Amino acid sequence: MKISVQINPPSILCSSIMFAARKTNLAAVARTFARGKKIQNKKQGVNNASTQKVVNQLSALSATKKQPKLLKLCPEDLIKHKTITNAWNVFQRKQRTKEAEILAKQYESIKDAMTELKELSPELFEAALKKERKFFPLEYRVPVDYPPRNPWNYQVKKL
Amino acid sequence: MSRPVARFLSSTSKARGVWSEYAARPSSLQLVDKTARNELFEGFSASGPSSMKSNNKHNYTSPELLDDTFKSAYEILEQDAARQYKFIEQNKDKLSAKQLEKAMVKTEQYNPEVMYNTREFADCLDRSVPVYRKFLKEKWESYGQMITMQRLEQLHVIPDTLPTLAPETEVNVKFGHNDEAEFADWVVPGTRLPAFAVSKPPTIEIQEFEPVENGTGLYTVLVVNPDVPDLSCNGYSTALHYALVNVPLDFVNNTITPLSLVEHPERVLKPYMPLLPEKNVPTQRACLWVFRQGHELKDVGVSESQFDIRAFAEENQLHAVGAHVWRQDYDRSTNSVRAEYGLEKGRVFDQIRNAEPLL
Repeated sequence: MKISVQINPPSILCSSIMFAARKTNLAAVARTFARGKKIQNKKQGVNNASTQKVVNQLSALSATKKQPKLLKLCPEDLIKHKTITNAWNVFQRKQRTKEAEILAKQYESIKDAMTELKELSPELFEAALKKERKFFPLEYRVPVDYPPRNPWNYQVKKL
Repeated sequence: MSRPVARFLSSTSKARGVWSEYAARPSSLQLVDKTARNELFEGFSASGPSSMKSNNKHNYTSPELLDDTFKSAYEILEQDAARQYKFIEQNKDKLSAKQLEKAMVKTEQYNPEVMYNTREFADCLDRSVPVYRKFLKEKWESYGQMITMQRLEQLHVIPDTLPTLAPETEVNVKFGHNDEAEFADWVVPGTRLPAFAVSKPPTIEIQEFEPVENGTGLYTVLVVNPDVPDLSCNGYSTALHYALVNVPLDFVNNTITPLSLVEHPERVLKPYMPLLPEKNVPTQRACLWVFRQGHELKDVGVSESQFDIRAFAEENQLHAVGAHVWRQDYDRSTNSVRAEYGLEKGRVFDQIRNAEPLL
């Protein structure tokens, strides 16, 4: 339950007319209880640049800034938004299952081919299973995304 | 202000999907509010959405391209639902009741109309429809079930009456004879109630959420008080205050009212007698237990003063599925309620001082 203390300007105005002596007090109360508005008083606030910087940094880190923005939609639009999200999830799920099916099929076909090969010629089967340790030759340049500033070194000699 | 009006699902359109057919589907799946339904599918009128307050309405703008995206999203989901319906039709005989229920939920859970109903009209959902039951179950599990279990454990209803409970049904209790708003509503588990507020038998709502395998559809309800002072053993004994047996209940007819029991007196094994704590006795708990029956009970005898609920449940093959608890103290109305039920004046016990620390 939210409890908010709010003094509306008209009511302050009325009471200030009625009790002229309390005018200043009421204004002070209104200032302290006003919600959602930053009131920077020169006396109590920050007038130092370095302190202001720290305040800015801290307010950027504050919990309210980290909260995702609330969707202010009417019920119909909220339902539409949810429906779209649901459809997107369904679509993605379908895509994922499709990919998984393709991978499973590939694996099955590899497996079938290898079992057949095993029956036909065990030597070839062994050869197919043999792992070659391939190294990148030391003389090769490392593959990069962009051409170098100096494209070719003409002075290079093969070791 | 002009809005693009996306017309689809209109009666003139040729291709109507599964979610627009109401021949085989229950009509309660349709959006309750007709204007909201119109606005959901055909866009808002120039004055803005009618569900919003008048001062915000004119400034309101929907997100860009929402209607068009919604249209294609609706088609995707509807096709998915159609596939589900086809699956159910093909495998109707092979599926068990629970599997069928799950499949039925899948067909309708993303229907925007159903979503709107569960969001805005949660109080009047049709309990015969699986998707609404699933929603109600989730709602119950998120709050009501936790409250009930907390109170049952903190007040030691578990294990003072029965060893434990795996809650499957939502149990709500109301004393309908009360005029005061404070006592007329559904009782929050664990509340202390005065004697006048519980002087007449309660209305009990027992909501099942899932179909029961090999279920008889019959229920037993017991109200026991495990805090009756027993001077012979310097302790407490359990008394039976209310016993109903062979009460047929289902998803829709889920309420036991005193009136329904007047019509079927054979269901009352022990007529209602409110807890009437004597003076200076510690707070007493009225523990209401709901059991699913394995078979119809016949010729059951109960001892009222020394009642053993565990033995009773075991003898009659009763499976506890829900519980509720409220508490009572001696108060100003206790004596008058005692007189109403023709009881003698209650005993007065010595006050127990310093039973609890002051702080």
